[in-house]
Amino acid sequence: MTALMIKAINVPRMTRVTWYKHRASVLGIPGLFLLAAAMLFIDSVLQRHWISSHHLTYCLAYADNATSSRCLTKDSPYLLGVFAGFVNYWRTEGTVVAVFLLAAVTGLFAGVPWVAREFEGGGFRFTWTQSVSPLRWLLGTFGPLTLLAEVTAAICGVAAHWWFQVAQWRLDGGTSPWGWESLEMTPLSMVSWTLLAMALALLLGVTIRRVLPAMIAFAVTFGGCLVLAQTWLPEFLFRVGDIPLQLNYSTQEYPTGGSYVAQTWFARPGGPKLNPMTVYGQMYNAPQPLDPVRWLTQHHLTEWIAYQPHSHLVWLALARNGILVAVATLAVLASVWWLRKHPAE
Amino acid sequence: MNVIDTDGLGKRYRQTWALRDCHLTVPAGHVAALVGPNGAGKTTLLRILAGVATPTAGTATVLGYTPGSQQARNAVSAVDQTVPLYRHLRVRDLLAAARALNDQWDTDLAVQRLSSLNLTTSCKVRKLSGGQQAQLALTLALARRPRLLLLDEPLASLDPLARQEVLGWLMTCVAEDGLSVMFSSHVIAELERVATYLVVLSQGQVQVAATVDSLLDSHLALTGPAEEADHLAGQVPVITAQRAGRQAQVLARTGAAPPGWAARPVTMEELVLGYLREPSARVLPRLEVAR
Repeated sequence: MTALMIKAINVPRMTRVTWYKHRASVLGIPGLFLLAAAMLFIDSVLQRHWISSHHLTYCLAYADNATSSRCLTKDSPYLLGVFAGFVNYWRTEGTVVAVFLLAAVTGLFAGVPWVAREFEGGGFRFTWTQSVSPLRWLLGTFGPLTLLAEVTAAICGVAAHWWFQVAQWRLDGGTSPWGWESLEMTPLSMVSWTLLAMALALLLGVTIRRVLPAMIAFAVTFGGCLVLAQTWLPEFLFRVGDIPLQLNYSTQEYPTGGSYVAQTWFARPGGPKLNPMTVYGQMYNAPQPLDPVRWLTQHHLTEWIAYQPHSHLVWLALARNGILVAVATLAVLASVWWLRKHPAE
Repeated sequence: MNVIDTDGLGKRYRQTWALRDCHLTVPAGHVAALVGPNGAGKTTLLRILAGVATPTAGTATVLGYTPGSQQARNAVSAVDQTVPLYRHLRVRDLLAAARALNDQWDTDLAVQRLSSLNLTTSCKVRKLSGGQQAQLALTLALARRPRLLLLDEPLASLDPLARQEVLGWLMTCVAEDGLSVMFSSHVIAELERVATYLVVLSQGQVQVAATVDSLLDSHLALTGPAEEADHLAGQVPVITAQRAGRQAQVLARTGAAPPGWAARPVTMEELVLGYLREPSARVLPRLEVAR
């Protein structure tokens, strides 16, 4: 099947043509990702050297926020001072954002123009009147460019992940593994976003067929995807399969470090979930000073949380990136459908 | 065998029909000239036949294949009036890309042709003059060794010498390789030199489709008294009549001059202009002239 598809798309032939036609993109895409990877690698080496030379290695037990906090605040006031000098929040956050946006840059400046410019400049009429069908032209160019972007994005993702293992501590003492920075600074995430960027670029290029409007549409659409992926999607996804737990104030039982509390609510026996804000409002409007636990008991209220244990993180991250890949696949299929339904003229 | 066959072919852009109910047959081995006023649908017809546009109505075949099918792509070359080339590439890279894009490619033909044109292969295509770009596009089209060549105003950007040379080259290819050609042009003198088949398009429909020889043999330019011109239509099919003082010049589809009228053979230019002036007149296979 794969061999038939490769033969149908005529990959080697179109790959050669892609090289002739899109040298700037063929060199620019890997250049961008590999340059970023090199800079992250060098920065990471320098940071690791700094940590090692200041004997902070013990404090930065990467996956365990609690350990490092103890180290820095109680066990070693000296190290806390040293560490304060290490924190560089905005530079680190800026780097994370820049790396995160590499996929968008690739889609905007390499993905959109190649297809939209062919329609705008009429170059497609040259290729379509050779022995190559429009579908081969579309997929035969998209394939090599995207493959190149994916491979180099993966390399960049590895470098970003390695860099972030240390750099996260410069974000004022580390981030949660459930935080957006931790989730995005992985090879899988970089590859998924790059695939989505290239696929959206393809779809918008094929449908709009003008470079500038397609670039604007890409910026809006991809921006929308980024916002959804950082707001609605995690909120939705992190509730899938979460584990409810009634909080017990006497035993102070709570999920272990590295877990993610997805929901909090109050409830009466057999009653519906109550919004915590409503309950807190009533609690703090009470006329006399109160003991919250006693107040809750008096009102027959129990506090609940639903949490994701750390072991779920990898699956939820896979699901999140799987959704990006699925949307990208739909965009490619939609591009093919559109091209068949609406050929050039 | 027919190289081009269309049946009720139509193409609509939004509310406007660029081509409508087009029935056309062009036999193999001809150099077919496609003429018509601006907006007649020439480019649309050629683009449909080349497979870069899809018809809204009707069907078309080229060399027996559906335009855009793999067999048609392999056998048909086309040069659009916009001379579509990748202008940011160097000539040698465009040649390499074209070679990679085709199952059949004659490198020797391309190289020899470009050498004879003194085109530097290291030069970027956009640096070439319009005429050189047209020559390059023609070279790439012919290096594919097609059986049918579709050209949309290919000579428009060439100087007179280059036009003559290109036409000569085309005729050589036709004679040596059995190539069929359909090309559109507004320069009727060029058509006269090379065309063996004439297709006149008007208002999106085929007005004339016949061999040049049969058209020239079956039409006469008649000169006679102006007052008799109106009666002439009852004797022979009149395509157009122009009065100048007491004399009338008539283009008629007839083999012999009616009494009282002086006749001479028509030129291709007179024939084409006559039909263009009278869009309702038709000369189609198996159809009589109708007004």
